[in-house]
Amino acid sequence: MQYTARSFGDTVLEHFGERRRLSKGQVFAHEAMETRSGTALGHPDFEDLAIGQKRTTSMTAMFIDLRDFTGRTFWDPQDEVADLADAVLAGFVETVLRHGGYPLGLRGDGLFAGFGPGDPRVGASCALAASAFALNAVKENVNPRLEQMGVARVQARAGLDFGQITFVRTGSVGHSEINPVGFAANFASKCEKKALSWEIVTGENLAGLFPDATQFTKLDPPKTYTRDHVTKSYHFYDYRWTGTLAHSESLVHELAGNSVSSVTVG
Amino acid sequence: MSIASLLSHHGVEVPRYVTVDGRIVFDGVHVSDAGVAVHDRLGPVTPVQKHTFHGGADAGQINTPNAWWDDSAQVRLHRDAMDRSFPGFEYNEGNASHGPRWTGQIDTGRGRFTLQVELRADQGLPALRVIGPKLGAFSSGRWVPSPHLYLSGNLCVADRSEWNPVVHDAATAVAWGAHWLAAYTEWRMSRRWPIDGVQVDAA
Repeated sequence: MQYTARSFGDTVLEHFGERRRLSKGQVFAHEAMETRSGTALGHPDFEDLAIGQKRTTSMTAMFIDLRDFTGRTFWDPQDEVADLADAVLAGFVETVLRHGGYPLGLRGDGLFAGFGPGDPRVGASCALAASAFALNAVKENVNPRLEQMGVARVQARAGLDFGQITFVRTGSVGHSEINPVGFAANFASKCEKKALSWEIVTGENLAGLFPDATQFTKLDPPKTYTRDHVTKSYHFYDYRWTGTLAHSESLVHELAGNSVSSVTVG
Repeated sequence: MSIASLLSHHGVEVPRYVTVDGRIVFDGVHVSDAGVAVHDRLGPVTPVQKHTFHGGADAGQINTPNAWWDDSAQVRLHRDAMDRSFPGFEYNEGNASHGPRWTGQIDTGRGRFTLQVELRADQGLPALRVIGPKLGAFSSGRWVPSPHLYLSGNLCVADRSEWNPVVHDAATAVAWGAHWLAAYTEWRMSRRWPIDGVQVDAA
């Protein structure tokens, strides 16, 4: 089956409709629970970590979120806001999986995902394609359908960077979670905050994977880090994503549910 | 080849290979010291040489009663290459009205096509034509022909200057045709031609 912006929109609107019916008491909670999956978000390569144990790998970290959602939570009914966030995030999760990545965790109104390990250029390219696909699907498919339902439009943005990420299981027996930490993940989050609505911003490491690409524009000023009187800078890059959209449909078909780690070049 | 196209979109050119049944692959290929390329699941593969897709008017065929293909040794080079790379293709000898031809099936993984390659009397870029199905798509009830076709309907797989008769053979042309068809099947999905060609030597 083809995966298109309309497919994304269907996922979001079906989730939203289901959640709204539940919130309004039109379905019982136990009926909704029948669709609950026991699978937590995370990366299968690191599920076996014991408490305190950690493992490091290189991958592309991606944050994608709904912009200005705080304002929405101020004005709109709490139930509706929560249902809408839940529905759009379900669409983001599906998009990440279809593009060969792993949804690693939810961060309020955003999703944190990882693409890798494996060839860095493949992981980064698929992460960029996933971000572009999701932004376009929200803008061109979800929003017009929300408007038809009398629900205000949403805005989305994404931030990505490539580098080492350490997966560590934190907590105590019976109460633990795998926490992915590292500069790439932190800076991807900063990139997301730097992005305006419908923008994709990346870190210097990710842009550096593609020295011949024309889609990246260095942004000033860079982020600076100072320690012991030594200051270093690290740049943000704007990524022009509309040209990437055409690749998603056949990319999803070719990946066929496999992760980017399964792809080797050469 | 969608992943290869996406990488190319980001300025990363990766070597491409074609399997004996015409599928384009870029991963899982091992090249021996002797230069023989084998895919870990799909068996022997042939490198796709540098080429870029074009369009416009093609060169047309030159008919001649005394062509180079009367020399069986010269034809043998092409036949051997085709037997190695595309053993399923059927050979037809050249004569006064047409050059040596090979006709066979290309399976891109998203569609099957009957492809014919014909060598030219002037040893220029061979003619490549798809016998079926028709190349194009309906859009808003109107038939839109595929991009990168010559006005004759033949596939424009490369610029004429990219063909080197000393280095290239019929199998090179069929590999380019398979690459063209892989791009075509992506165009059918997205209405966007995914790639200009290949800019790196695969082997």
